Amino acid sequence: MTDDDNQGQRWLDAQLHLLDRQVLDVHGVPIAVVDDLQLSEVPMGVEIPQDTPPPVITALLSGPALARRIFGGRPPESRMIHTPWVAVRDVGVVIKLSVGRDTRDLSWTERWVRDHVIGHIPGGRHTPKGENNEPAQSNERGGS
Amino acid sequence: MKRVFGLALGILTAIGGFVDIGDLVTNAVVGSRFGLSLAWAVLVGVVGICIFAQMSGRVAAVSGRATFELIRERLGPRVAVMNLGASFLINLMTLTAEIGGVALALQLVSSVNYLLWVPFAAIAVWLVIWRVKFKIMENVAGLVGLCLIGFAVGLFLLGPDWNELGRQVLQEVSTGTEKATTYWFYAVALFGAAMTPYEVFFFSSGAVEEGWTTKDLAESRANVLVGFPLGGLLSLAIAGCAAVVLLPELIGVTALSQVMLPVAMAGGKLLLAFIILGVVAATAGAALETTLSAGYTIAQFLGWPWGKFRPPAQAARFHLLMIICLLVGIGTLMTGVDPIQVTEFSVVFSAVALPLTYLPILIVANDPEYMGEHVNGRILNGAALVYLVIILAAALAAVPLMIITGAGQ
Amino acid sequence: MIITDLLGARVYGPDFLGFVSDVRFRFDTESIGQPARLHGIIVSPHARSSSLGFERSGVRSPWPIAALVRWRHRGSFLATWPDIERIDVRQIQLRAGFERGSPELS
Repeated sequence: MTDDDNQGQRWLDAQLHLLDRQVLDVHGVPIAVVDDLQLSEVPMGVEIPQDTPPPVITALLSGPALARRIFGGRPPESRMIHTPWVAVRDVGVVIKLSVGRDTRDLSWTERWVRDHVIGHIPGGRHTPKGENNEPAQSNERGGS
Repeated sequence: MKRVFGLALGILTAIGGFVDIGDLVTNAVVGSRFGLSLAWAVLVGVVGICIFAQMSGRVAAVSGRATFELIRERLGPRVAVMNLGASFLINLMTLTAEIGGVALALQLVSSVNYLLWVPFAAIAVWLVIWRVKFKIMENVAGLVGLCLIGFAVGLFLLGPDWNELGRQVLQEVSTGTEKATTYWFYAVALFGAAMTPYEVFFFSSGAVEEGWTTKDLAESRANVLVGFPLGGLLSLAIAGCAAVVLLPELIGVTALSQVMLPVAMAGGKLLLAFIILGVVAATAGAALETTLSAGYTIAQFLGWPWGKFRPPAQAARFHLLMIICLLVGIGTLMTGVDPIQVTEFSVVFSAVALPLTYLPILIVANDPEYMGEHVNGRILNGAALVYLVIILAAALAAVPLMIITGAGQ
Repeated sequence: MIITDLLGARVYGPDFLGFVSDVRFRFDTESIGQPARLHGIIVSPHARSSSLGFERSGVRSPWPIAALVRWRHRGSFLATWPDIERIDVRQIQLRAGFERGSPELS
């Protein structure tokens, strides 16, 4: 997948390399799984003029699309989380971003559960006790 | 000593998979009805789980991806959802049974009613998940669970006729009233118990929790090659004890106390206490393994942050989910349902989850994008493909056999 | 437009050719955030989706599964963007004289 030819090109196939892949923020924390891809607009239903430039990926989409991919149907795009393509730093076994989680609107459910449930239980904000804790390098590993 | 602790993940995974409360009783039932003539099913299962746990551990170490993450990436969301549904139900039923099992074992040593122990056991399990570091959890639960070796000690103390046991291993024996379908139902059940999917979900997620990398491949292999055969040995020891004591007298096994009867006869109160300690640790270990697996599978499918290595506040949904699972477990047990019966139905869901779990592991273990130079060798691939066929056969046969035999009546 | 609108869509040349089993994109350089342009679509005559990709990568192991997937996707080809004449709802029309490229990656 990461073979470059002489001109430094990379090929990415949507199903093989992008869809259903884990997205990690710049600290290696999981954000979401890619459920869909947003492309720039193309003329639909009409003949496409010969020299029209191809559409580009504008954003990774995560959210309720999962039910759609399993059963069919179409949820509104506005309900999904958009991760702009420019934030993508590397595409490998996982997709790594160059931005941190909190700067995105990505994980409001995570924040809600944290603030309203887990945060209220004693000990919730501490790392589990024990010897030296090896922190979250593990989720960052991967990729060729 | 550190080397021994380094094997704790494999040992705990195996104990939680092979000798959890359901399998403890199943092994004793099998021993009391079929002697050791189903030992081959345990052996086939042990080899199978060694092959696949080795692959999933290697994949987790090299690529950092735990097994359920791979299922969605490689097979797509539709297939992954089917597996998720089946696996989640297995996990939920098993963790309910394990909490019940801990309570049953504690009831045996105290005179306190089992229903009073249930919430206590569930809270204890939750506290370990909430606050205790993964490594300490696996070391304590895994190594104390090894007290189940007492069954092997008991077997020796019973002074059995080894020739007779050997004869049982090599040929089909029954008490005369057993049908062939029942024999095969238990063969599939023992095989399924050895290869339950939550073992690889737990083992591969544990590998990520421990931060294994390509430098730890030897450790991963050692964990597998020590842990799972040990689990198999414990299974056989339990069946052996039942074969020696219960089979000749045609005593049936319906309760936990009957499982322990041979050991009590052989080694008295001391050995019995040792065993009970082992049972408590093993069922608690299985409760931890299945509860964590429930959290891992859902979180990995949906892309949530997960892991005991994070403070709970940074994996909030993961922890909330497990709390809910434990509450459901308590609630179910409080309705008075027999925890051991609960596990019998998980055979059905294993039938679905087994092939859908092992196929992606095999595929990814061959994929250079994930594995670089550490892809499978030809021999391993050959063995794994043979097992894929066996797994498919077992998966297809499980439900019909269960129906025909009334779950082994 | 979102990609699941394209995936599984029916592809026509003069006749029915197959389904869009995947969509290929291309970067020109390795830098961060470079645009990923749609290079073409993978058309598979018999199957609507392909997530294992054995017909496109060189991976041959495990052999029965790779062989099965390759058989299922036999006849797959790549149609590049310039050869796409028209995109409708769940339907794509290729231009006359379109080229069938190899779906192999790299």
